[in-house]
Amino acid sequence: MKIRRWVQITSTVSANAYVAGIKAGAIYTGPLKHACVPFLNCYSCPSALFSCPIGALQVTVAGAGGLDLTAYHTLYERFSAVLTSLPVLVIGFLMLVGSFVGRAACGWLCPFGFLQDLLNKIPSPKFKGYDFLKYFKYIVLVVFVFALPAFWLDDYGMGEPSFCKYICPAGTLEGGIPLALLQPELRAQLGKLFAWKFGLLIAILLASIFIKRPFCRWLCPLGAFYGPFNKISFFKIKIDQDKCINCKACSRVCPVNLNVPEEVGSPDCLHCGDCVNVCPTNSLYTVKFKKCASCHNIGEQK
Amino acid sequence: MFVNKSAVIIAVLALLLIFIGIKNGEHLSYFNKAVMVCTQCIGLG
Repeated sequence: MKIRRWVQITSTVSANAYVAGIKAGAIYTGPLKHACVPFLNCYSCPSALFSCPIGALQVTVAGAGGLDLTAYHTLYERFSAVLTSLPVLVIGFLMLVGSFVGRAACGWLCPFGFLQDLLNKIPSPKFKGYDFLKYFKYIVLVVFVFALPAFWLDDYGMGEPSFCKYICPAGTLEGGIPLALLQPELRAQLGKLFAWKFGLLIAILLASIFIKRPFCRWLCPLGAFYGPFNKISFFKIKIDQDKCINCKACSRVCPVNLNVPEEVGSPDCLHCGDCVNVCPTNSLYTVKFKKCASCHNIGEQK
Repeated sequence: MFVNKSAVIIAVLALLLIFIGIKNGEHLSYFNKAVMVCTQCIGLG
């Protein structure tokens, strides 16, 4: 088994190592929840030890009373309100991860990405999917993680974590289903919203059998956040077009179906390194911390 | 070969934001939510 699989298993287990929570049907409430993991991992999962960064982003924006800009009259007041409500700790943390490894947390650490990788191993016809759908994840990030929690307020002037509420399949899988199974009184209260989220989860899991990582490519707001850092991160994957024989071995193993010779290092690349491992001519290689001035950049042609 | 300056600038800015966030007690803000079952996450609304 390749190293990445071991890292994915280790990450999944260590982020969800609170066994007592599974036994008791309750979630962990200790100090580790002050910290976020750099990947999607629902903090309502009974076994989760850490917070989810996307959940923390939304809660901080929404919990600040939302950004009810009607309460602020001057431009300066409105600008200040926006700035003081921004979740800078989580944004800074994700920027730090992104600046070092780009989207590698998606490829190496994310449990939900790992699950999609495994499901895609099931023998079946495989489809590439529509390329334009990759832009949808940026809309999800802006609208569901920032805009709706900030501006769509309830009667008490509070926002709500809209991505968690309406979309997040990891939340349903790791939080909703286990808690519903472990707490009968909670199970009795589930209604249409749970049915919607459960249906979405099933649709994504089924799609993962036929399409590589559909959630990561099209819906994940964390992937949308990390993606642009691929261009500037310390860790990069690059290609020497002079050595490339265009055999497509790299594209065949890419977990997000990229046309690797043209798209390696793009915002959709997971920096997993699978392409580097299979390249027969070593034209793909990793760059760590140093910028190689003489080598070809992504997209450059001979 | 030279150090990737863009990444250094982003990393320094990120550390600054982390410092400001911790100083503002932002981690306490989401901690309060993270230690309760999130009704939105589990589909209760």
